[in-house]
Amino acid sequence: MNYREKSNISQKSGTKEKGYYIYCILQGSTALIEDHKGIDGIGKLFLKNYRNLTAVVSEVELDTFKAQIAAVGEEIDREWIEEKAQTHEKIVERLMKENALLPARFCSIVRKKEDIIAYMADNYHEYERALERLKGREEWGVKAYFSFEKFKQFIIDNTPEIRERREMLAFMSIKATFLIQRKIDNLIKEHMDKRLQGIIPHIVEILRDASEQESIGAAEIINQEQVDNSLLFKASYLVEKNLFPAFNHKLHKLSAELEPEGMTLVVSGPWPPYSFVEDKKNSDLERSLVRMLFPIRLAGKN
Amino acid sequence: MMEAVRDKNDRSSLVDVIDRLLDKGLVINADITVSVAGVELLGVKVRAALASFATAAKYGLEFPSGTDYQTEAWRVAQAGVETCPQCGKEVSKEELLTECCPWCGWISAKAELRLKEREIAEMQRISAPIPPMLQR
Repeated sequence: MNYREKSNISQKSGTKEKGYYIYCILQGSTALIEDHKGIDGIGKLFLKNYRNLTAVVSEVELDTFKAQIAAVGEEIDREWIEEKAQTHEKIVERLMKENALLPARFCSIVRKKEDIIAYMADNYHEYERALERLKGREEWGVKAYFSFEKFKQFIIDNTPEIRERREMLAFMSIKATFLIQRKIDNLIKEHMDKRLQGIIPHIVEILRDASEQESIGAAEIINQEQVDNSLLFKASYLVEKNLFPAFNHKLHKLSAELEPEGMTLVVSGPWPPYSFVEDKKNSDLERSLVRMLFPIRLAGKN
Repeated sequence: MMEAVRDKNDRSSLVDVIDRLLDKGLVINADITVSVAGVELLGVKVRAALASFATAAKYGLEFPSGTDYQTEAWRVAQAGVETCPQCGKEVSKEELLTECCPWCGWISAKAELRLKEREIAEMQRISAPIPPMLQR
């Protein structure tokens, strides 16, 4: 049973509890949302203001979402997730063109309109700071894919030690060939491991210089080397809009440098700043300060 | 060379969208908080399903009717991989059993036997004396 059928059941049974789907929080008290429909294609987008913050929301039927979420344990409705995630993203992207915003996570729904205000009031200063930090900046995604065969060939061709040994093979007996071949295989592996360890820090270093902030995803551990195009590196970068040409230039240079080694760099964006809504560095600092100023005293100790 | 900035209708772009929306973004303590847990559950479930398919393929178990056996994923699952007893890396079963481990050079008893047979055959070929008229 898919979400549409589930939704029909809830409609038939007459339960039509409403909720408010939050897409993002904007800076300022006005935003152009025209006559756009929300995530379910029915409820219209509207704004909810609190001081200098504005939440973009739409009314949704809670049952549709609840039914889908409840279904997660039973079946995978990828179609539903894909369709709704794309709609959510399109709405936020349209708003991103003219506003500094904090994109909300998928399926953030509250029951009452007042809850939206209460939520913005509770986090007002934190959101204001985050919006100031993100103003005029965009998120770009960078992924590096790895071709095992191409990389191996590059190592063979560019390591004199390996090349010489391979040339020697032609003049040897089968038994000696076998031993030398083993030695060559070990050398190839050794050089590949060494180079692989250096590639990610190299990418990080180059792109760190060209961006304001980075969010590096968990790198895939390559344990199935024979599989081509495994994801070697995944990261998001926060880049000032007018500095993007410089970032892009560095990426192209890096790509040209790594391409002969079997690495393919793919860039995507601009994205709403999903990876940078939380200022981890500052919140850690704040937490440490609070701990320093107001140390927790254990019972029985002064 | 580097690939172009995303085409919004591209399939890989959809993966990026989902990757970001489900895992990142402003976490609002909304009423439907289950969604986050649900979504994480979903990812795990997809991976679990893929793993069980590969395992089932390995042991030749039957799949539900309608399964497409012509896909690349199916072919890969059927080909099978084996763990090298020496270095512990996963390598093609065929290569490991008939040749050697491409990483550490470990040779199976079967491959070693084959190598010895080849060696003997080679020795036999060159053991016959070369007639003086053919010698340079």
